[in-house]
Amino acid sequence: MTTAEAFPNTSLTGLPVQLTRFIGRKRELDDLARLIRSTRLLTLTGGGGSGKTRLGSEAAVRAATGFSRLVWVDFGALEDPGLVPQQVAAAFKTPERAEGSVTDTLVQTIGEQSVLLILDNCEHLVDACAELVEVLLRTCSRLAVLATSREALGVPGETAWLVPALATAEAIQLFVERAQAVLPTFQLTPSNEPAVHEICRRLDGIPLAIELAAARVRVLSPEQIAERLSDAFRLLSGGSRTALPRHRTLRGTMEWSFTLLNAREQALLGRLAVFAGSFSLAAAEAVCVGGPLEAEDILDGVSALVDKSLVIMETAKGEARYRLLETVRQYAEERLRETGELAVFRERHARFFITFAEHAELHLFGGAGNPSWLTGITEESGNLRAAAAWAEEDAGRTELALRLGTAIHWYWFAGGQFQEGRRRLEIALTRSVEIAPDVRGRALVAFGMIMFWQGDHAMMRPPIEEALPLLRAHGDPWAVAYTLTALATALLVEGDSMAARGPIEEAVAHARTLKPGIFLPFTLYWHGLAAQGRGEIEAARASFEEAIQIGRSLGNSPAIAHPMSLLGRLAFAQGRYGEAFINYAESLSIHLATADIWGMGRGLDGMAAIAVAVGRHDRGARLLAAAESLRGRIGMGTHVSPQDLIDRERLVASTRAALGGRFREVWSEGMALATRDAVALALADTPPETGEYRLPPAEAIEPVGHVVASPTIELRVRALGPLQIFRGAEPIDSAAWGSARPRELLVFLVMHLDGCTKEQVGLAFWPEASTAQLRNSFHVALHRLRKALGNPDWIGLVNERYRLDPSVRVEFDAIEFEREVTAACRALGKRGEGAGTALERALEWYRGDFLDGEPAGDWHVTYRDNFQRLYLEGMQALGTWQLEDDRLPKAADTFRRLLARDQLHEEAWRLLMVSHARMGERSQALKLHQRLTELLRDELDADPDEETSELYERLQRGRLSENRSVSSAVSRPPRSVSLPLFAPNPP
Amino acid sequence: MNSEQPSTISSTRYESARAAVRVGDVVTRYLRAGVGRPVLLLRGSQEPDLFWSGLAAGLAERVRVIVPELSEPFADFSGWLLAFLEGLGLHSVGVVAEDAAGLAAIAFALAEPDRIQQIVLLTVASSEPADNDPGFGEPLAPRGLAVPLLIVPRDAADLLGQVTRFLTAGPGPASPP
Repeated sequence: MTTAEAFPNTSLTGLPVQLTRFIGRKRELDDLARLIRSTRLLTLTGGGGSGKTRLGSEAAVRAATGFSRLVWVDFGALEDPGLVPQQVAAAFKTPERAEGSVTDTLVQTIGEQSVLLILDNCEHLVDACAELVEVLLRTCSRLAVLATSREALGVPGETAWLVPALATAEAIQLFVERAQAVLPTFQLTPSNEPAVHEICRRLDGIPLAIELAAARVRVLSPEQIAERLSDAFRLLSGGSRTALPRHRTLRGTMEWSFTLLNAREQALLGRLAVFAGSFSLAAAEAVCVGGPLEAEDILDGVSALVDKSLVIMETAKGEARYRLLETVRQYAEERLRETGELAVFRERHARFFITFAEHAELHLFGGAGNPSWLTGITEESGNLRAAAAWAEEDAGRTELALRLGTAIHWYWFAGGQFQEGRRRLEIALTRSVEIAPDVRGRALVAFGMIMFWQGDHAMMRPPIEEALPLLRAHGDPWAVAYTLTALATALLVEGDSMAARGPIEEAVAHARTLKPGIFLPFTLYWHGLAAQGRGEIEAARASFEEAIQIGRSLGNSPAIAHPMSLLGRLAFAQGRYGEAFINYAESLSIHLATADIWGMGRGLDGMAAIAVAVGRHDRGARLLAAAESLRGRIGMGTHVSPQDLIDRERLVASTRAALGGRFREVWSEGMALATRDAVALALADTPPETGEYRLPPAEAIEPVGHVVASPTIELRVRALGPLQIFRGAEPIDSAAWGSARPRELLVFLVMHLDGCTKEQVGLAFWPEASTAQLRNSFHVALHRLRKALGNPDWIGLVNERYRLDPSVRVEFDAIEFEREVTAACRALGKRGEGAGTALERALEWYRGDFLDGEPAGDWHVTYRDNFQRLYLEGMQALGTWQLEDDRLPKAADTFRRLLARDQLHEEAWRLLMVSHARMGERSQALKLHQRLTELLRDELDADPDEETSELYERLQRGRLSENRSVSSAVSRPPRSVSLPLFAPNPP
Repeated sequence: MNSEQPSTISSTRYESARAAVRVGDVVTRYLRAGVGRPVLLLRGSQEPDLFWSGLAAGLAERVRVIVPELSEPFADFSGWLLAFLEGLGLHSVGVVAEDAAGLAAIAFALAEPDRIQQIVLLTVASSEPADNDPGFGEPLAPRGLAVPLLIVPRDAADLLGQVTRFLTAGPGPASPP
């Protein structure tokens, strides 16, 4: 049984695979099990080879059931202390964000999860580890850390726990097991037992030393080993018979073990020290040859070193990889340095991995398309970092640094290691050395793409524009096409689909001349988006479909899934929900399989839009929330055009309106969904019948209006929908308010421009408070409000009444809304010129219910209901006007939006039926009647009223479409607004 | 990385932290402050003492100060100190000590000379030392003790400066060979 099977409820990340049996240490494990539960930071200390890692992993696995997640991070191959947080974030699979430090992102990822984080081999990064651990422990209350380090971290609350030497019996047991691994016939006998005992004693019970000694039993008897060790140690201690100091025992054993190697093995072990982390045999063959070593010697040499316990072999997916224990690696590096060849082999190592990366580049393009290449390059992450560090050491290697960064920028994308990628490219790009123009150009494009992935859209275009002329003059067609695509991407995310047209069409033309591959679908993706942005729907569809077809022929899943999702988006925009659903479903399934989080985010948004469009607001809100939470976790935007953001805001607003008080609960349930569960929810449905409802055509989804500031307005209060307050054009952020009360007070004051007394406010805000309490609460709220506004004079006291200074130019959406809607309805009643358009604009003020989501007092409820009524009446008037004007799809859209807010509005149902009937969609209208009937039965246990039944009969007889006068039967001039909601505006 | 390069380290490493070392069944609590060469402050008594807290804070500006809570009396001081250093993973340290702890530190240094970098022995406050009084305030190298020694009275002028200069002179602590 594997560890993962043993702990089905705990997710285990990165735990090292152990090929040998763990021996003894029962007492220590019991002690550790207790300490892991009671200590938040436990550091296993002890010299090299004392078994910290092995004991730590054993203890961690045993403690696993107490945690929901175990995450293992090995710092052995990491040299740069600046990358400590990145390394941990990578283990958590937390991509970095453009904003905020990696540590902040980690803190958010871990949050309140109960996690056991194991930091292995911290000794060379003690300060960096200590700093990170201190922050994590302070902010993540259910996190426990188990570290292994030769030196204690010295973090508050740490318990440093010295890993003891093996007890004699355990040491002997270890010797025997390891001896049997190289010589299966080895047995402990009365004749060799004293020698084994002596070896273990001499080796101070240090596990690694005992393993190195035991590995020799194939050639030497235990007696010989004991004798030779003794000689070697006497040599080391300058001939004295006294025991070697403990910290020199392992060193002595390694030296002894090293001298027993032949010259070729010695050379090889030294050279292997340049690998960071594990390495493949092929890499060793390429890097380590020269002098006494031919390529064909490497395999024999490596396996001899494995036999002697100096190199560890691991197998992953049938592929053997090798590594040196950190203690051995350091020793080996010293030997290599002594030969004067360290620099030579470090350079050879770096150049090998730069070439390797360049070879992988095309296979990595697009991210997760080629899982085997991605796994392959991920295994080399330590070596790639070592190569990058080598290239950064010397300005003369800048070109190599740029080549490496360019080659692996899609790998950085796949792993979410944006900050590291951006930093490395930035360092190399800003060095003032002569660089071949094509190398510089390609690196600039990679740099721009990283900014795109980080969501830093404003910074993306300049490097790409710098690259384009360089690559046009010196680059190959592929590089030019990639650059043009990147440029088009930059323009599209800026919202300029017109400007994107030139570059993307040229890119596609270039791409068509290239060898078939992932690149053409990548280009077509953006080509289609640009076309859709310009309203060229058929061209867009053709691009997406071609991209998918190429993706299928290549068997490249991202090349299928990404354009598939855009095809869904396109179908949705045209109101073909069934088709959209099917596209999104296929795309989501693929993204789920390839763990493409970005793609899943887009798919969830798409599915949410469909749910909302067909009136399933509960599902819609849940999926929207899940997508939102996912974006928060990966720290990226998933939009491909500014329109996506606007659409999303609309969707959220409409689910909020539809769900009313339940919204908050549904939303937080959605936020809590794990990504996998959210995708499962999205997929667990049947596609809606195509065309049952029709989405507003794309042009009807207008940007949320009224945010653009006119310079004269000083204070802007938007209370219809979630409360937003702006000073001039600047939103006052929520932190400035301290609590919700001061905001509520401001709204109260703008609704009572004549001013109000402290008692009036008190009655509305704190109806149950005593006079003293009220005074206190009122002044706290007032103080905060004045502070948040930054201008204390704005709220003055005149005749015992608090009021907003009349000279302050205020724009309050509720007042504007009421005034404009009332005026427009009146004008519409008189068939006034432009009245319909004015009404349409006026209704846009209404983003949602009054003070939606604000914990405001009961006083606001009457206002909320009145504004809502006004909105519904306005919508009805608007729809009726559109119906009479024969703008039937618009009218249907309006009525449907009305129904989204008030689904039992029977008259709106009738008007919607009429709209469809007029469009010649009689069956649609009949279906609507069916839905209405069911709805009334479910919700009110009632039947449709007489007027509806009459309409239904006429629809059945099919006489409606000829009978145009029917609209007058259902439309009548809207009532004017019921209540004067406000005191008249002061002059 | 070099622990003597504080520039890359945030200020939290300079603040004092309480932590513990566990070797076998023996738990030693200690206070750590500052970064750089490790220096152990060994006090004869565990009573709160403004002199010692001031000295620790002053030294922490330049070195890494480690103040263990000693249990009294020291049954096996050398054994404890060795275990404490092993548990912290420190090969060698400087020591500032007084009273019985000072003598115990010297005894330890005689047995394990490569694990102690320097010893500062604080003596009780003296009246003005005579100018010809040998040793006070001057680094000593007594025969038989392979560790530089500084003996200073608690009330010496510029005590902190003297001790800091002595502790930071010469090469940093060697890592285990």
